Amino acid sequence: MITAETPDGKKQDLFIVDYHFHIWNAAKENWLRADLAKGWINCFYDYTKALSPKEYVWDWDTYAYYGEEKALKDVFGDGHVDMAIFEPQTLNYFYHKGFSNVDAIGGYVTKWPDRLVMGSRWDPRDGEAGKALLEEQVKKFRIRPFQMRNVKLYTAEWKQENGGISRGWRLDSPEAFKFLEKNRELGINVQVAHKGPTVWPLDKDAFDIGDVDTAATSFPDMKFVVTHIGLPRLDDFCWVATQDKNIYAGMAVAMAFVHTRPRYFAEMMANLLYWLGPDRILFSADYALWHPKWVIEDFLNFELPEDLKKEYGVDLTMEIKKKILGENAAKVWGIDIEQQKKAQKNDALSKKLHLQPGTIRVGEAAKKGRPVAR
Amino acid sequence: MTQDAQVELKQNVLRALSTVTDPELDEPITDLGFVKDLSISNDGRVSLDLVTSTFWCSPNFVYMMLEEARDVVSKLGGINEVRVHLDGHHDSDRINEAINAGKSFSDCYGAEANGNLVELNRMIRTRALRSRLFSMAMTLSKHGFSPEQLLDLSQQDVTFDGDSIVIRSPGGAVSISDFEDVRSVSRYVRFRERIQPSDGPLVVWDLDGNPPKRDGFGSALKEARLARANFSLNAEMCRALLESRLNREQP
Repeated sequence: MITAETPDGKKQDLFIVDYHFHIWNAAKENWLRADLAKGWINCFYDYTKALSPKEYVWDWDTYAYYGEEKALKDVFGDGHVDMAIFEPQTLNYFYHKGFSNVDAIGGYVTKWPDRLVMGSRWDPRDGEAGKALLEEQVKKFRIRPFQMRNVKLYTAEWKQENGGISRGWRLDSPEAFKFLEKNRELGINVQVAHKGPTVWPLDKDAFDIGDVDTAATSFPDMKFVVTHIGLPRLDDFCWVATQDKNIYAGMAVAMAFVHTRPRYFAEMMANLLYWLGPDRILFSADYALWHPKWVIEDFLNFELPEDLKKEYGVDLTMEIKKKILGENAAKVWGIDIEQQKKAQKNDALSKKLHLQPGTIRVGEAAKKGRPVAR
Repeated sequence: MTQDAQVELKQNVLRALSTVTDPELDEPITDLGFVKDLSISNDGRVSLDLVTSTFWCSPNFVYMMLEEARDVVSKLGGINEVRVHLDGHHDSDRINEAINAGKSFSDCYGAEANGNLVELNRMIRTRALRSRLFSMAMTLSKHGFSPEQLLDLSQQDVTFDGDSIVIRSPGGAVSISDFEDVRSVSRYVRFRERIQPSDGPLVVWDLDGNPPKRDGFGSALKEARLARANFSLNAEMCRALLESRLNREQP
């Protein structure tokens, strides 16, 4: 639990929820198709290096597999996060046991149910077996009201099928709609849609979120979080999210621009605030791509430049930052913040990591040479 | 071929490649650092090594870029053959083979694709047009043109004069010489020149040369602003990724 103190002496208690968190295993022993498995983790590593402060870049082996202990310490111990939501990415075509698989996640969540939030995934190509598995997971892991409420839907997942390869699926297909109906039945009301470089058919734009639009319109009672705010199609995303009020901007990846690319970050925030408003933007550091400590501290210290405030007619106040950092996600997942604060006080993780409330003096860090928007 | 002729030919090839953009970033592949190596043999055979910012760039846009690179170089005088080699992409082998055999995208991907890339190309180029239009409109507003006044200009009103641009308007001619301003206007004008009708209004809203509606032009420009923001974010991300990638020690 941290408090942000602004130069005018005002204090804001923050409750930070990271909606997109991983404990992955990309160590060489887990590579099934070496070229693809290596290509995947190396690409992640490039993203990390491209946008992180240098002191936060680990050696490759640690990056490929850092494990539970390090993740807990980084995210909850040093990283200011109060709750982190898992978004599994299986990639079974690339990795023997998957990149971040649901079974492993279940194990972590059972140990730390007031900190880590279970999310599963499905793939319409899995058919009835996929639906049965989902049902089982709900029975097993709905150990808090907010657990097992979300699925990550990675539409660029590769899969062996009929002796060939299928390189993706669409969220507006009849098969996907059957899964969405199953989700409704099971109370899994948060769909975290994530696009990747491939989709079927390959001549279509893999990053087009038209299918999310169709699904969001057809399931108005559900919430759809579009990961990395639709990038590289921020424009599509903003138009669609302006129409469908049940679509949310998931800031994973986008958030990391705040440090080395503050002007680009500013333009992105200005557009999100202009098109969607402050209530549908969700924070994530996308650990272990980026360490939440610097992402959160930079974000708290970040101010929209005057020219963009004027041009877009928006602002990014401390109240709005507070929403983005936790309140918005808490609403989406049905997390009662006050109740969670109580549940977390002296919980096993607090004891293990000796967690103490802290204060971040906003504005002071900037004076010490942390980047501010130019 | 003399050494001088070879140097000149190489410059021509690079100039031709600088007209090829990454469709998703709307920036020349030469500026982005995608051209890794280029060699020309004595008998006019070009070998072109390309790299993209990630192992995972979408195969369809990569295909467009490679096809265009191959075609613009093939058209040059003195070139007898072009071989393209894309390195470090998840589908490198397949794409290289198809591009060098002159196959279309749908021939390359068979049942995995549902046709060629015409529609995708139009989608992304339309956004590039609008993004460039927004940048030009911002620049010209500094020089006294309101968005609505831009709608009254024809293509003939804009002329290049050395390193400057001259715009004819009812209030008299306006000359623009600031480097960034000239670049912003010429990026739109060069794109516009490839759209019919070539003697029509300066401002068009799509690849068929239709002008935007005068009434809603203000809000149309807000859409265009978003397209511009998107391209510039993606280009910045890709530049950063390519830099990381080229500096990475392989595990």
